[in-house]
Amino acid sequence: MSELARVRSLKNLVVDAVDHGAAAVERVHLDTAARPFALGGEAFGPVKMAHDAAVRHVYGQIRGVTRLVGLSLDVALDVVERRRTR
Amino acid sequence: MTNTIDAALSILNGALGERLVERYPGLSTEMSWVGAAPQGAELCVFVYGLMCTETIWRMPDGSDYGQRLQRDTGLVPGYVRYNTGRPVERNGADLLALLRALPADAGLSFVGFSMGGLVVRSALERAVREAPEVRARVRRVVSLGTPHGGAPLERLARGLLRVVARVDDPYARLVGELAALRSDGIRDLGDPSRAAWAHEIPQYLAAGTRDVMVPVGSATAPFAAGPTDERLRVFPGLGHLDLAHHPEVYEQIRRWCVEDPTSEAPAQESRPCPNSRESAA
Repeated sequence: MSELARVRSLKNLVVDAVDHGAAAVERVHLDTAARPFALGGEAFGPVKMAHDAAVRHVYGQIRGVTRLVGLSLDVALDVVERRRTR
Repeated sequence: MTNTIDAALSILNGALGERLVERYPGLSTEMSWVGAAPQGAELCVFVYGLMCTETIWRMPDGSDYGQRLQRDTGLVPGYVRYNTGRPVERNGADLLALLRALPADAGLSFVGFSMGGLVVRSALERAVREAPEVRARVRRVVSLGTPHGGAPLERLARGLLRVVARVDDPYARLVGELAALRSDGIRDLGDPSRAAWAHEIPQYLAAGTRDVMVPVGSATAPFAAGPTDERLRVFPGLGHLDLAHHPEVYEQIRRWCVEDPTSEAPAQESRPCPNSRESAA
């Protein structure tokens, strides 16, 4: 296995780890926050909605930026690979 | 630095196993020889355990069991590198493929540490069906701290995870999800080996009394014999990792290797193994 293939696999692993890790922590975050909101009943409904939207936005940003970095690295690795095979 | 990267990769391989092969193949360690394949009339194949690298064999003075065996007995060492997170059976198949590519007249001895002993056992079972010519060349197998009877830590983890799965808590669910990612290789360690015990091959077992990963009972399960058995040695005060690079263990391996493998097996070895398919049938 070439060094480049190893770097590409490592990149994929890190991107997947951040992606899935962020999704898992987001679930824990939302589930944990849901408990005190549930105690407040319907009165906390709008607050909970705003909170959940903010949380989803933040974790969505983390995933988005990670994927973007991953795509950029893919392009960079493609360039390196092409230069090496010339 | 290379050693650090190799160590990190071996941990990753052991933890994720087949997932690495499928999704991140560049990080998966293929079954291969460390360096060139060994050449000689009598070879000794070293197979390490879960999340290890070949540096596990290195002794305090910088030598290893293979170098010492070559010096003292003439056995030519060959060190195997592989993805320890893959199912034991698949690694056994790959090991057999590696052995089939060796010179057809070379005698084969094996030293398997921990999971490595299970991989050897699996390869030899497969050899009965697919490569009897390889099996016929096997002189002896030494298993060091090999969980022939299963590893209690994996069984404990399974029990804890069953409890965690019943807890309605987001953190407990997260722990459960993370634990579910563990490799097939780790899961295989929880059960007694499914591979049949090769009664006709001289087999030697070593265990350490301070080994919490693979207790003496598991490492010596195929013999279930008393301490007088010459093919069984329990080392007082040695832990799991010690078995892979301890001078006393080496001395025992050397003695086992210079024994005539064709000599009559001790009575205990002819007993059916409680973990083999033959005895289960």
